[in-house]
Amino acid sequence: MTTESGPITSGPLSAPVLKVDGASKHFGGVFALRDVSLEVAGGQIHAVLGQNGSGKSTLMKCLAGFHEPEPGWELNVNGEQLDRPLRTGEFRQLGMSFVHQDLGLIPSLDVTENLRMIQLAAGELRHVRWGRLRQAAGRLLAEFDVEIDPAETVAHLRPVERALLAIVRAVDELRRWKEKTGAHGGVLLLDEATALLDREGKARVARLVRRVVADGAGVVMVSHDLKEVIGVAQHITILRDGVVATSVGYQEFTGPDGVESLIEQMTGHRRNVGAIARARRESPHGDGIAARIADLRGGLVREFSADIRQGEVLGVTGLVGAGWEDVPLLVYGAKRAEAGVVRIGTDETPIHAITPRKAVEAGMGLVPANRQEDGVVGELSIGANVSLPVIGRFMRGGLLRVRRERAHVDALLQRYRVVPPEPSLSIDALSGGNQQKAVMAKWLSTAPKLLLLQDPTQGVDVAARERIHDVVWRAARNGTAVLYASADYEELEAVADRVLVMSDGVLVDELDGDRVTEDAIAASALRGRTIAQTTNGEVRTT
Amino acid sequence: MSIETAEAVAAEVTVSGPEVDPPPAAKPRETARRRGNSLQKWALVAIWIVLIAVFGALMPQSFLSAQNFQSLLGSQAILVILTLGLVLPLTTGDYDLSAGAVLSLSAMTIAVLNAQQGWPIWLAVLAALLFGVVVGTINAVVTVLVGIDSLIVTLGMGSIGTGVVLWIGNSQTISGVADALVEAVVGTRLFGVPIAFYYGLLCCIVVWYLFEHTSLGRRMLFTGRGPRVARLSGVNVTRIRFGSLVASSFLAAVAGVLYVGTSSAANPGAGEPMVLPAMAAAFLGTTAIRPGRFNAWGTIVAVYFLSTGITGLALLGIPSFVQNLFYGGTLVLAVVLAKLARRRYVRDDAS
Repeated sequence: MTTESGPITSGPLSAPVLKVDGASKHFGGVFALRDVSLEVAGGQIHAVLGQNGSGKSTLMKCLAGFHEPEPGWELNVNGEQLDRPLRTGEFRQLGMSFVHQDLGLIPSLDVTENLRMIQLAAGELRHVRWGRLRQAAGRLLAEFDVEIDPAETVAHLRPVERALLAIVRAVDELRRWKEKTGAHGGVLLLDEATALLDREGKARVARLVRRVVADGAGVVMVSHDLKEVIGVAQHITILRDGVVATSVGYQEFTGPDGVESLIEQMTGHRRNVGAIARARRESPHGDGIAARIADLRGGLVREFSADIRQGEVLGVTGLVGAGWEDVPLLVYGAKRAEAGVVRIGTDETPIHAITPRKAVEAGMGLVPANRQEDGVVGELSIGANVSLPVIGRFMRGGLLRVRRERAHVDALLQRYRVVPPEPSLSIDALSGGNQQKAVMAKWLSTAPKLLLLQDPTQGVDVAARERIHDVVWRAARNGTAVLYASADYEELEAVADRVLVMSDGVLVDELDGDRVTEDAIAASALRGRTIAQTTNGEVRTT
Repeated sequence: MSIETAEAVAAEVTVSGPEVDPPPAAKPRETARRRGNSLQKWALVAIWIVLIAVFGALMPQSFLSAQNFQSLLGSQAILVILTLGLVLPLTTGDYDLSAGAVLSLSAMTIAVLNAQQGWPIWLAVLAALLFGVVVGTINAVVTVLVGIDSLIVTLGMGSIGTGVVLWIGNSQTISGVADALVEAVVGTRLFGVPIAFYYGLLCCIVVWYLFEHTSLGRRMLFTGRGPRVARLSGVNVTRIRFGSLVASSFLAAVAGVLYVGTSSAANPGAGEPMVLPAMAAAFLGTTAIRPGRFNAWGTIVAVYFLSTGITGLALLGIPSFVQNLFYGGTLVLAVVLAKLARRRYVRDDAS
């Protein structure tokens, strides 16, 4: 999906800047990583792919000195040879720089403060002259074509801008390391740093990464998104179940067969989204209207109305910021709406006065994008998390019937294939995909009339993603009206019967039947904004 | 394509879909964790027993006497109820630092209305409890509805409460409260232990029942640990936080009634010094019985553990400043232990 040309194949590939040999790590007898080796040349973009639980995070944590790998590994970073575990923070002295998924930015501080955070923390800047620092920050950002005001508070930045800022900061850190040590190379490790970005954002990051390697540094991109790295990476290493499943160069993964084989390596099976999706859409659903949202306004949404038919999965999408992401939140009362009405069956509820509690009473359920903050309470048990919306049902004679609750949860975990199906474990012990399955189970057990989903497969691996699509689709055909808001067009192709496209807060397109394809949705989303912008321009000029 | 075919395709997906294997270590780890937990559950009780044994060996005559235990159990009922009150908003994520002042206010109200104004004792008690609810409601309105940090709100309300106490009581200790109340609190004994102890026990059972055996208890837990998740799951977070703050003040007022009943007088400075021991006990309580959570039995164990330590030290003739060291030290230590207890649950993520 990247707009620029393919990877740089003939770049100055110098000696390896990072070489890992025989890294293993086990937790209580289970190997999370077994004899993994990896070699990254200077000037190379090397992708490490794998699903949740494949060992890629463990590998990163070993390199960051957070985990101690088992004895017997060897590590060579920028010519420095080691065969012991790294100490915490030692990676900096070795010329490695990490950007993790959380980006490590402080939202309440401004761009310059965030850029200089490490030096401020290390006490390297004694006399702080903010004016100069801002100017320097501006120059640095401009050098990488990142258009952010150095005085802007990070909380006000868009997600893609935050990611770019974090990457520029990491690159700057590598430069300082080079100046200080006189060394060459350096390794930038992007540990799922783009997981929360849409396609456009990922492409923007890819462009930045290309400029970084021109400096001679090696880049490791850790991801579970194959699309993101194709066309960017010169080398791909795929981890599966803690071992290297395959490690291939650019020539071997271009072309459709190459991509299919990579997917196969990641999942261990062949999949066929198109056929399943078509079969799903062709299976009939009712014509009656199950839920109607009318004249919704608030947040990023300027005007939105939609009918959801009985048994239908209605996709809502657009580019990031187009308003689709707010629709489920507004309807549910998670975000305050200015106006609008939702009708479920014959019950009408004004949306401006709705609260999540009223929404639940009206038969709605919300699967939010931000699972860690809005979806689950990590430290509490799987069982308690899953039974929360229906906990009142288990009160009989003034007592909470814990055994009945447990039976209810057990059945749900089996049915929705949450692994491990152990209700007393804290839900933090589950992988992202399984957590999300548990959240789906939680809501489906309330037998919702209208299920609202906001980017439900964020940070979820391919297998769990398919499982979630399957669950959503079945729930719909069993009579739940489903509103599926997502910016992942492939996902919408796989699960939606009909897709509404938004741009600048209003609906601009509707796709159904054979037109529900990834490409058609993407094209419509991109076109939508252009049209809306010209319209705005005309309005302004008149 | 018919629905059957679609179902078949979907079924096939499900079958061929690679299921993520359950981490095989989950089971053994789980058992190890449970064993560790049961050790942790009873550690405080064990330390308490050791403490009793040590003081008993040092002072077999005075410390080990039945009388000492009876008075210890009875006199600490006030702190038990005050602490159980604090545990409610602590569970739902708020602090109540005004509880001590509410205790004094309740006690002083009874003394002034009954001993000075000649109100019947039952009416004076009712007025005291009502004051408790009023203070709790103000706390709740400002904290929950206006949205200001409970730490600041209840700190301020505590000072206001103390001011009112000094004002209505003319900054003096007021005695001469009706004997009926004294009789009802300490006059009656059951197995040699003042009835006040059983009030504390009853209160503990009520809070235990609430936390462990009602759906409201579960909602309270989620409100404290994940207010956003709770709200999005349809829990009325506002009402639960509101109720907890009111209940906390109400229980502080009840503790005030017991206080007057124990001493038949109200001292304007009675409650405030109890806030710190109560906080220490509440946090220490999270390391016992139900580790990682504020819980009723852990709280009562912690209160008696702390008071055993204080009583023993006092009997040994250790100067009273040690009390401050002991309570303050325990609070900090308890918070550290509570943090560690919770961290044990967050596992090393092997993905």
